[in-house]
Amino acid sequence: MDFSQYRALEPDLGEGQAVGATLGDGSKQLEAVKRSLAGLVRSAIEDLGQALKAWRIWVLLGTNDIRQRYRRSTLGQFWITATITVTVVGLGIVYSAIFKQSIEQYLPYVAAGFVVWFLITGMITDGCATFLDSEGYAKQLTVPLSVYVLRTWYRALVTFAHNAIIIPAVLLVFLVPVGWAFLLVVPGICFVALNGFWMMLLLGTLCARFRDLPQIVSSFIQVLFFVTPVMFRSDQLPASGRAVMDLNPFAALLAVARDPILGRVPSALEYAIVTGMLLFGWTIALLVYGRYRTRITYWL
Amino acid sequence: MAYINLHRASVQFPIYNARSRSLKSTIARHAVGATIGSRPNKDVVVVNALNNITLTLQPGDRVGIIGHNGAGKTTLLRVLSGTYVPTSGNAEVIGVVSALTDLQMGMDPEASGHENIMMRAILLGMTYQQARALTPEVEQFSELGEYLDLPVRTYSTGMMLRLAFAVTTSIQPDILIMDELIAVGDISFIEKATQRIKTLIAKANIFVLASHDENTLKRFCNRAIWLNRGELAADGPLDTVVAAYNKASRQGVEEMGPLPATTPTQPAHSV
Repeated sequence: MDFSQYRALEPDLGEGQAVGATLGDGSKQLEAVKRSLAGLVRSAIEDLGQALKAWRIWVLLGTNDIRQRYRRSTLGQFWITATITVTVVGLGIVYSAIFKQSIEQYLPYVAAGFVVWFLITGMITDGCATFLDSEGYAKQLTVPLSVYVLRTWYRALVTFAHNAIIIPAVLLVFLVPVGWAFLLVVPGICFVALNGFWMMLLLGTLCARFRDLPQIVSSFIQVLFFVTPVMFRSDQLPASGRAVMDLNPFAALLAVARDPILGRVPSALEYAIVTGMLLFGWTIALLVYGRYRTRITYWL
Repeated sequence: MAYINLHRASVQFPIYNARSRSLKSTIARHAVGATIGSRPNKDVVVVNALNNITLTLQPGDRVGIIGHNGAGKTTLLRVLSGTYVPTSGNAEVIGVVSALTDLQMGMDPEASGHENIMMRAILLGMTYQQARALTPEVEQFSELGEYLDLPVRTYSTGMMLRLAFAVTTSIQPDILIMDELIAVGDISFIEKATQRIKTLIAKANIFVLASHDENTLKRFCNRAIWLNRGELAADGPLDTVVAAYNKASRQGVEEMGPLPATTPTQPAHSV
């Protein structure tokens, strides 16, 4: 495979002056800005397209990341499953008592919530390190850099698959009825995975340049955990709190993937929020990555 | 068809220290604007690793790159292989490139020799089928035999290098790029390895070698590029350029650049 030719091409604009140009008078300038922004998005998409074609490389690197972590342990990668089982059972028992809920209701809720939540936060935290961890490869291989984002993304999805094993087990143990709504899990997970990808692309690029960002992001995620209904239910909140919760996009992202597991159809508002996130996020991420993708190697 | 064309290519490394890398200082700078106490680029040291390089490499070119430590040789190799995109100017690299710089990239010490062969081959752009087809050849060349079933961490350094060398050199690239000539292993293996490298060089359309060793350059190259502090000091027939370089070095005309551009890698196993 030969990507060198491709990596060597600069996005078709001169050093982003056009991007930085003031939106002054005259539609000509505005036109120029629009054109160069489109150029950035196009170059980022081309990069991603080339990276997707190199699937063998990112599947290999991603698989190997997981294999390396659990090599020589008896359970192997099923330690992932074991860890989440302990977490969910422990929290389920304690918090069902605190919240005065029946464990039959609460434990499946927490299990589904954590499986999705770990996918979301895993993608965000690992996304920050995606280029930093791939420095050795980035300086040698001539594949487009988004290969390394795909590597991290793939790893997150494989980890998710191992976590998700507990879902059918929990549903069976507590005899949770499974209806047609369950099928909505598929689009729900797609929403999470695709939203996660733009976050990784954006954060990976920014974190390569600003080394404080990973720390900021990880404390942000901690706060996010407390304001997102993972452990509690939003209907336990007073009306004013619920209104705020409706505005938390991560609550919507969690809901579109989790609620179908428990037989609830997510609301139209929730779907609208995650779709908006998808469009807005991908645009920003492609612009930033398109602008800086040729600089990332120098920052590492 | 292999072809490399650099047009006024420059590489400027921004060296960010912790302060300028932090988001806080960037935000503060923009918030305060250009008023008292905000000297925008105070913390950013910019190293001009390459300056305005224009050159064309065509099939048949066997190019030696010479210059003092910190002259920009490694940076130029990375631009030629396509991993660095010049910060200004253009670089066009056409053809399958193989850069034999870090042989051990992506080696997993916990994985067996066989697994490492597969991994390495995939990283070099092969399909699974091609990678599997490669195994017997690597097995034979590396002479590792049953060791290939053991995890690589049980290997000696020499064995590990033999494995890496055998896999990496099993692909014939259009453009072959090397930072110092590599040769690994004990005496009998070195001979074999040198033979392999020679064939690889002979079959490559374009060969680029950064080296400090005049004899090696004379053996393999027909053209030389002399880099001095990131600038193209001379480009021409090997003998002429090397003679000029030696003369200049003796006279001490050259000085070190303001800062070494990259950490020069000189593998211990180079000849």
